[in-house]
Amino acid sequence: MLRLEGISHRFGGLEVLRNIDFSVSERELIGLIGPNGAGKTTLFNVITGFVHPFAGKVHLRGKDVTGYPAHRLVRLGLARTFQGARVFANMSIAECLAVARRKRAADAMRVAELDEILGLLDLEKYMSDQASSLPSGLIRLLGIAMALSTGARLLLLDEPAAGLSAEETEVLQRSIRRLNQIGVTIVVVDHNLQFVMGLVSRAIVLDAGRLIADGPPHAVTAEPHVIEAYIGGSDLAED
Amino acid sequence: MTGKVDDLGRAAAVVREPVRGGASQKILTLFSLVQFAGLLLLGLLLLAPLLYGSRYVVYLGTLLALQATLAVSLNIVMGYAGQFALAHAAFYGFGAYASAIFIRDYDMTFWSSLPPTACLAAALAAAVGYPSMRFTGGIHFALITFAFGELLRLVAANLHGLTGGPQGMQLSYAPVPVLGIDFGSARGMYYLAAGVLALSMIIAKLIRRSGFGRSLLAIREDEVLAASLGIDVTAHKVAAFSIASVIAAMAGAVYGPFVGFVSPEMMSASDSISVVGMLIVGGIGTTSGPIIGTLVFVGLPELLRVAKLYRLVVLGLIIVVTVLFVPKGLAGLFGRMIPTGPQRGR
Repeated sequence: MLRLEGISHRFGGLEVLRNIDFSVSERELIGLIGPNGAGKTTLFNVITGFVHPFAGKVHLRGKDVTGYPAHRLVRLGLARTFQGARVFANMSIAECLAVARRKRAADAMRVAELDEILGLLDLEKYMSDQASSLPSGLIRLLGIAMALSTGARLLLLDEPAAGLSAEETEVLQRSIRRLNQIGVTIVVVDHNLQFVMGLVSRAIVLDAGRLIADGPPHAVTAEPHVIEAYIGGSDLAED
Repeated sequence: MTGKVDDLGRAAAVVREPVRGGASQKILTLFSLVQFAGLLLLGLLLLAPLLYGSRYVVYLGTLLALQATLAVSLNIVMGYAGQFALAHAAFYGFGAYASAIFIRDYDMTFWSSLPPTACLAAALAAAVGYPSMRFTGGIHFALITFAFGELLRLVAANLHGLTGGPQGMQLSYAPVPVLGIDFGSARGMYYLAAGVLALSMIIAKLIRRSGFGRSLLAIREDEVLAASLGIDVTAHKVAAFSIASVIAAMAGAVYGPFVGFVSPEMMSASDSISVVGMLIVGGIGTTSGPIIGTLVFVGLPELLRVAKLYRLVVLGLIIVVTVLFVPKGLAGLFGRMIPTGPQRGR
């Protein structure tokens, strides 16, 4: 589905990504974790075409897509969400979704599947409300619904649970699992280790721009250098 | 299984309760009434020169219709896509010159000069728009279009052989009659200008309702998010700029035979900025805003016979007052209750 080959990037003299290699297979549900400043968001930006990597290649479904602009990647079935609540604040939810549905990926998810997911996210009753008037949990779900509406087969979620209540987090987890069952490959970045670990089947750990661990979540978090990286940055038990 | 979801939904519904219900429905009804009244007013204004036909009223009506066309078209790129295009008067003048030159040098009729004029305007807009949107955008686009407008004006003032230089060109043609309308008369030109305005309003409305228009609004709201949803941001902005510029050029082509004279003055930067002022005063991005803005900006000074010298001072004051007290423009006074238009997903 997705393969990264020797991705390196720097901002000025600061190396934020150093020689990152990993692959994501179809239908995987992966967590990308690491302390603050580990390079997670930059890696997301590289994969989704918002940042051109200094070195290395990105392959999407067997195709070299390094340097493709974001909008072209959407048509190849890749979509992402952003940190925080990023929606078209002055539009109604129906309009937000209509914008996202306009440029469908070539082999997009079937409309019925999509509608099921949108039903799961429970946004229908707010369709004509202005996006900015929603509570933050629903705005987050709307962001995900918009990314999905592009017909994505590979979905990258950047800190989807940040700032959500326990209840909202549960809805989110359930929706992400269901999406994965339907066949969407998902990569989740989050600081909230409990959230990620309870969700994914494989975790990739970044620290200071390096990939330091890759494997089942509980094996990964038991590794001494992962614990060390987290203690250096923030506490493992943080939520 | 959806228990939690329902709880969440109910909680959210409670939060939203005060905003929903009867009051907002009444405001919606009021809003559509105001919009209806606005269209009625516009219709009356367009009919006025026919019912009360002094030469001056017909002249003023024609001028207003052409200026309103400029405002309506600028609204596509500035209001919908959120891009400050500061070359609108330059494209207006370009259309007048190009059409006049095609007619003079290539034996074309007024009507047959329109397609090549439109194509040239689109090509120019794309050539200026693409690099400025692709590599910089934002404030740079405003500066580049401003400089480009001045460049066009200077070219017009200095290519003596083609444009007649600073003295301009005298034009002595009228469009060939169509459907029995004699465009040689002042009233005929008024029909033509009103037709151009109506057509540009229909185009703007169709764009607004299309997927393309929705994408433009998305770009205005958040370019990065729009790109992440598969919208080619640069291509959309360039397309909006080209469409707006072509409409301005078409209005210019009508302006030529209307006043019988084209000069580089028509392309001055202050005129481009006035069109922006019309939008700010009327309400950027709204349907009725460009019309209201034109009435205030062009109609008012004409009616009050304010000396040309003070016109810009008065208009500057109007802009400042609007931005300070009615930031969403006069159209916004009646309620941006419907933030991005009437078709809320229905």
